[in-house]
Amino acid sequence: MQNINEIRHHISAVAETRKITSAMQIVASSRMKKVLGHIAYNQLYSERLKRAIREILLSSPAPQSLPYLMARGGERRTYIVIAGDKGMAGSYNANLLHYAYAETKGHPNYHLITCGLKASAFFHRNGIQPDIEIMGVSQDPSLANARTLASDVIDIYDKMLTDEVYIIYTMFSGPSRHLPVMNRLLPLLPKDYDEIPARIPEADIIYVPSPEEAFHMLIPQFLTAEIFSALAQAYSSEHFARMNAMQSATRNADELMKKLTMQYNMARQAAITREITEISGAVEALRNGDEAYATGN
Amino acid sequence: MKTFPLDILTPEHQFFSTHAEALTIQAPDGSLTILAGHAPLVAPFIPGSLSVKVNGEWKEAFHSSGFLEVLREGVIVFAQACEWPENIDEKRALEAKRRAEERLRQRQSINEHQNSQIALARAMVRLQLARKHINLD
Repeated sequence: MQNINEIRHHISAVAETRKITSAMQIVASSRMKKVLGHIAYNQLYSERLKRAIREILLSSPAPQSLPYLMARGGERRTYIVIAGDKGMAGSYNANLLHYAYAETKGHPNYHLITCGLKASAFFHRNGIQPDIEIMGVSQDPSLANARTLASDVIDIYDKMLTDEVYIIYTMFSGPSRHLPVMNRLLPLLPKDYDEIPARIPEADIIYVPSPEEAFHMLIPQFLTAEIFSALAQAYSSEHFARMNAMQSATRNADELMKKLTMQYNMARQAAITREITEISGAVEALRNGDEAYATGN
Repeated sequence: MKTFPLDILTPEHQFFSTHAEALTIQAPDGSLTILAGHAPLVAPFIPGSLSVKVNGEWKEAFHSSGFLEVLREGVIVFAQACEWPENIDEKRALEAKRRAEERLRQRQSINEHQNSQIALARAMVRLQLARKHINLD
């Protein structure tokens, strides 16, 4: 039987931990609630956007000579990996980072852009130095951040430093729920959009002012919108994972407390019983002594 | 008057969805008006103000850069941001204008210069529109 004081100490430690996990659960679920309203719309927006991109790519006068629309044939890839800044979110970070690691391993000649502390720490640990480490974006999936990232990506691509750009993040909604996914950002190839239902325009699309100029302005728009939606999906996935992890941690703490309280009561009961036995034993012994004295033996 | 389905979307929210009679928007080479039955068209646009005619009344709103897609089935405007004049935060726009001007004074790469110019244009249109009027519904 464990020492009573030890058990008491254990119980108070578990209670403290439980306080923290339940507080984190509340924080994560309130963040989730804030995001949930946006995320359904975000999904719709990204579907609409992809459909528009496909319709534009399908229509004939799209300029094939634009560098953003052509595969360069090279093998130099750039990966943007979006993970969280903090742990305590179950397997959220681990799943994504292992997926990204396996993916990058197959293509040795690559550049790496990481979003979030966990992502850069993971690659550092594996002996890989990310080319760009972006901090603070995972916690603030704002349009301004997406815009900056998009313009960096275009810059890298324009300078011929890379042939293809991919983004790796965790999907929150849709068929690949809570799973890491990888999308090609650049170049824009029609085959990436094959599965999206499109309304094929019956006549050639008119581009204002000209196809070349229109596409030059369209590409940053596409990228910004796609990156924003990836950031938003990753953000909600992270908080959803954290909410679940903290919920089960709180539940485990409750169970552990119940078990420990039971042990504590049993130990206390045992101690009392032992004490009574000792006292009554002593009384018995004393009485025997008294009787022996009285009878004069 | 004939109408067409119009959706104005930003990455953050669905700004406006209606059956409109006409839509005017700032294309890079001047304003562009779409009426029902327009031929398929794709046009990027720069920060400016867009006007929508609904039930014979024009409504005006701020839009940031983006593009619009016109198909027979309807018109979708993809803008990075869209605001009614009454919702524009004038103080924020002023600050953004100052920041953009400051950045433009510094030596920058072509790309950065373009971004700052766009940011400045955004701030200017927001301010203009916020000071001009509000929609009286």
